Amino acid sequence: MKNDEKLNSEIKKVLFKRVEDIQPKTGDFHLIKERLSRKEGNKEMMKRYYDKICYKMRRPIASVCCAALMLALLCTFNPSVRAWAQESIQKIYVVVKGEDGTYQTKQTEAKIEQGPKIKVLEDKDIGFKYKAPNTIGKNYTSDEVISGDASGNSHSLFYRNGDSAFVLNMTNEDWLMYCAKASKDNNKELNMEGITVYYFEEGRGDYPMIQDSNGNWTQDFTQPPTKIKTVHKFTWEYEGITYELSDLGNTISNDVMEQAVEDIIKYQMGK
Amino acid sequence: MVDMNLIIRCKTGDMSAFEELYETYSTKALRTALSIVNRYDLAEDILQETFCECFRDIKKLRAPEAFTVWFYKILVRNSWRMLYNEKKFSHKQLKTCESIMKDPHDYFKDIGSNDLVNAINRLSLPMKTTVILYYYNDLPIKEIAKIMGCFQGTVKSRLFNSRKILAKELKKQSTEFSGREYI
Repeated sequence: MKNDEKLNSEIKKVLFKRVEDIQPKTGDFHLIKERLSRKEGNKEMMKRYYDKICYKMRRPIASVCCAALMLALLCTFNPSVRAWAQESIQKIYVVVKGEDGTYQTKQTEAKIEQGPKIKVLEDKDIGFKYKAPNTIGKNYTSDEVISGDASGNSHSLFYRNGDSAFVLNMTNEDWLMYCAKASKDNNKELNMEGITVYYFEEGRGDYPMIQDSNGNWTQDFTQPPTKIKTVHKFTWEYEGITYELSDLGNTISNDVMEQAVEDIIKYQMGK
Repeated sequence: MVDMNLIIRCKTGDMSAFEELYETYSTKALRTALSIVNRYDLAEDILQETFCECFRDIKKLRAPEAFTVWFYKILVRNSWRMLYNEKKFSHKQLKTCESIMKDPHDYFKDIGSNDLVNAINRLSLPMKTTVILYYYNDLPIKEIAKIMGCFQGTVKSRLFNSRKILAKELKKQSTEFSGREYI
């Protein structure tokens, strides 16, 4: 108890001692008075200013509200406006796996959106570092890097050997790996050089080509595909980047593809 | 003890009553603010801001007997706010400011070496404020809880913990405390 009292008195003493000589400056009250009168004046002026603005703005605001209401009514009841709004939803053909295990076309309604702009890139423009050899498989050599999206987060590298070609898709996002794991078409897990590689197949249609409004050639999904191909894909991850080797439906044998995947993984591991 | 008539006169907008109120409270308020923020220039700003707010809003104070709590609430809020704003300065700016404001009122210079003062300054802001309001302003725990907007239990635990820390410091300084452990 004695110690508690001692402590309390020590704290008190210290707190009092440190500020005992301090006094407010003379004239501080006049400063406060001045500030108060200035504040009151400002408040009054702001109120008047606000009232004035409100009065001036009332008529234009009312006009804008009326115009917005009219536009909303027009969009709701005018059939041509409604049709224009629905234009982006179209009937397209997609490739699905039928009950008999073969790929078939099916018509469905979907919203057609402008895809990401594709352009040829140099390595310095790519948003991440990748590892891929110049030659894989049996004399498949890399050609060019194509960017799949404007953000620079996904790229593709083409390996060609005459008319035959592989495409190596790469991304620093997780959607490629998600697709590989979610696929149920002949999927299997392989182990190559200690790395898990996901294999799966996918149906892809060859659609008739048309020119869009910019004059670029694009596939027309509103027409049924002329041919259905089976695409073979191998997906794996190395140092945070997902790689996917695809034969684009060119019916390259699985042995050649597996050899190509192994070549890439060995190169990535520095073997 | 606050003079009720004075508060009532202030509520009517009587400027001479304001001046009287300022004379009564300004010294204690300045010293409290200085104890919290440790900087004279900042404490002066806090004092001005607190009295401005007090004079502007005293009409809204319903019970004149609650003036002390209400006034210190404004003071503590302003102290914390200004201290927070000061911390938002970059180090470079702060250095420049400090060199400019290196004031002649370096009141803590003489007792700067005192370990207990340093220990009080090292307490967290809520703990330090609680200690100042309790020991320097002699306010009861109930009123401190109202000022700081927390439960009485919180004030008690802050005081207990602060005392524990300060006792440790005091123990280092004094051999008188060797007989009992504070922790």
